[in-house]
Amino acid sequence: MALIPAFPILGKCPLKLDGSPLTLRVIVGQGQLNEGSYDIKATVKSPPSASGIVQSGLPIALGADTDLVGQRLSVLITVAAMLSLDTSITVDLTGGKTDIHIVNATKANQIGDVVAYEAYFRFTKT
Amino acid sequence: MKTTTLFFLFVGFLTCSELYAQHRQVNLNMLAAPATPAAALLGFSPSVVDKPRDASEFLASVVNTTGGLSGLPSDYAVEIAPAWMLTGHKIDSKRFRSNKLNDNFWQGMTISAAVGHSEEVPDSLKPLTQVAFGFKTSILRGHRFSKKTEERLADAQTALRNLNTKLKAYLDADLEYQQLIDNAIDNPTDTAALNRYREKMYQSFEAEELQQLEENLRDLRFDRVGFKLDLTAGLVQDFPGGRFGNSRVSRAGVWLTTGYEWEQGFSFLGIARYLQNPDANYTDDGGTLQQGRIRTFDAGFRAIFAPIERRFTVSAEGLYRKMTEPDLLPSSWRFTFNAEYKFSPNMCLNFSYGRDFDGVVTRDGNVIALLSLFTGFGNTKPMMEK
Repeated sequence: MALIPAFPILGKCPLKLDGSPLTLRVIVGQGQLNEGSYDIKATVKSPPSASGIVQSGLPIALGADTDLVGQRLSVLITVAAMLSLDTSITVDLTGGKTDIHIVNATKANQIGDVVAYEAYFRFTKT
Repeated sequence: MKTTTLFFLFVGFLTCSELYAQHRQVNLNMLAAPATPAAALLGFSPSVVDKPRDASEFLASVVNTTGGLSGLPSDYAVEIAPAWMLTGHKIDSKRFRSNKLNDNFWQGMTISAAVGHSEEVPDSLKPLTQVAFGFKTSILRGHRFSKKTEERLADAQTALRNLNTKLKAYLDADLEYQQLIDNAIDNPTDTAALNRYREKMYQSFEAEELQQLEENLRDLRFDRVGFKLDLTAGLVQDFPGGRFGNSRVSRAGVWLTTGYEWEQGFSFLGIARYLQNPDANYTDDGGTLQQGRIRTFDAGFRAIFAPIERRFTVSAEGLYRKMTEPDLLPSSWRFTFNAEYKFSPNMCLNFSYGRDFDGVVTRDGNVIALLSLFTGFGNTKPMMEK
């Protein structure tokens, strides 16, 4: 019984600023049980401008890039190891100047352990 | 004292009869597809089969056993599941639960290979290298998990959802941590402070859901109910003298296993097996030992009613055998009906009735023996005539 923090995903997402829609998609691999949530905030103290749950494989429309500039996207995915000790997530963030595709993997110590994956992206002009 | 002695004799009788019956039993398991076909065809024990989980582990295993890719490995068996090894990060829980043909086929696929060295018969001084390949996959694997599994998964999902909510609130509430994240986004090379702080944060996080998750997921069996259809195939290629230019297929087999499992403990299993051995020894009609190609076809079914948490099991089993080449022997079949009542894991009453391959009707099990024993009690002792 353990909560294992995976190495956090940190990055900037440069925007085109032409009203392009941004889409987030997370795939939780190895057939593992998972739950996810996300929010978008302007500052660490401000209330979220958008929030919701993240379901593996389902794209989430985050909004137009002109509305998101300067804000930060936070994603938390908790993965319970039920089939094997291998856990992984794939984060796809599309609609910016370049598409972001990151795979992160962490091994659990035993079946029933939970691996916590955190991803943070700041939407920037450049 | 007499009662106790009789009781122990009765228990001993049941236990011994059970062991005897198990030992003599010839059943559908004979036809069952091997778990790792390549290894099984070369006679390797399943415990020695190398099963790497990822590509780097597989490469390390191959390099290690081939002496740095300098030759064929000796006495080596490996099995890989390409779906999980190469695309495991794309298989989410929804795809793992699905019963679509492409998901079943890809996720259930295993490829096995084995290499063995021996001496060729009859020229036992000639070295013989054997390479075996095997393939196994599921075409249908049951349309859903059993209710018990679904209940535990639902409980685990709820616990995980609550844990995610609690952890998100915990992380969001710590403004110092959030500030450290902001700093790390700006300076990705300077994350030491964030990592130290983060480690402490996770160590001090507590949630009862972690205990619930462990209880729900520990020893969880992913039993599926519904139609199942598995295909297994394997062949052995012989290289006499270890030369690649001179090879022959020495054994090949295909297994098709199908069945339906119901929730209430009723299941039906059917197996068809086709084996080819181009260089086998067999006895002809006249009793003379011959050598040549043989092809055999076996099929069987088993219907079992074993209600969960009940002590009784009823099953019926049929086997069909045919040597298709050479066509020397007529086809034969066997049918058995079994009933069993378990008092404990090692003690049971059983009864079987059936027809053997030679057409002889058989009655077996310790019930028959017990009936004979009981009918013997109280009989008049035969007296010797004076």
